[in-house]
Amino acid sequence: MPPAVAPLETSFLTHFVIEAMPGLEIGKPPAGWRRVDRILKGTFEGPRLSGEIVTGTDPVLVMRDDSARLDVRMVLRTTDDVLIQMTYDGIVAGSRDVMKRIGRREAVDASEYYLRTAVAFEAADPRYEWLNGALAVATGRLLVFPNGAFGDHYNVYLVH
Amino acid sequence: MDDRQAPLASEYLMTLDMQAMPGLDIGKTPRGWRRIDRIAQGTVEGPKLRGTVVTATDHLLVHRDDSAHPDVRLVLETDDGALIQVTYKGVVTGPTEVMKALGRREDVSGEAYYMRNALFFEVAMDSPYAWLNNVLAVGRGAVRILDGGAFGVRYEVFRIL
Repeated sequence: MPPAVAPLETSFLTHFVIEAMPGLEIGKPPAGWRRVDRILKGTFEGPRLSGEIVTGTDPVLVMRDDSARLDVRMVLRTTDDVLIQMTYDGIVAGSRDVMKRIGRREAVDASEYYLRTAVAFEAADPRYEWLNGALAVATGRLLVFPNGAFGDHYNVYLVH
Repeated sequence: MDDRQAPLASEYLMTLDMQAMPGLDIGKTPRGWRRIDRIAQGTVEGPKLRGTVVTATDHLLVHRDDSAHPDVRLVLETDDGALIQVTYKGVVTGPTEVMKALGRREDVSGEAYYMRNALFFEVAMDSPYAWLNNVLAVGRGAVRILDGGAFGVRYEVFRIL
């Protein structure tokens, strides 16, 4: 790194635990393999942002190199009863074998893939206006719940 | 098992330095103030990536709170001849006076505002740069007024690990 470039500073914002419904499989349009995931339930907890997910949809696109692109729209309800829109674009990438195992919704160790998202918020309530002007980044881990449901964990960070 | 609050790891990827042409002012639309910025010239330089900006367009939108939202498509050509598509969305926020000064393209210290973006890359699967397809990167930006009054933007870009 050139000496003039200071490292990127971030701070922990919140932690998500998400459980998905069974996916709606569109199949293989020309763009790739399309599956629309919906959120069954989810919670988030952090020093300034905690609550539950009201609704969320992710039209996942699996591309020709087996990596997937996420395109998520979500509505959050905070513990103090504010609705916030959260959107994110993301990447899930790993070896062909790992991506196939993920596609079959097998449990895979998080070190075997790269799940990262760029997150933006829209809030009208003055208590959460600070989120509108924030760029956030998340690192994710896929989960298979004991009941077989599929989901994920995200650590979300504010970029300073 | 639980890694919550582990620090976010990132590494310096490149610096993107761009000089804009005069903006195309669409004006105040229902979404906000829309201005299209195009890049006259630019360079990219980093440990694994060096080259020039072939073309770039920013469909910038300024919201009612004066925050600006870049929405950029650009093409890089590396010094070994590879073409890389870069897309990014970002945010520029700051006190109203600072945002108004930026809108007038005045020289404002990068400390006075928050300018960040999230970048995605698209590269041919057989390219030596194919690894960029699966990289999420974040840029820390600053506006610069160049000699002759031209408007420039510089982002220090980090790969999220």
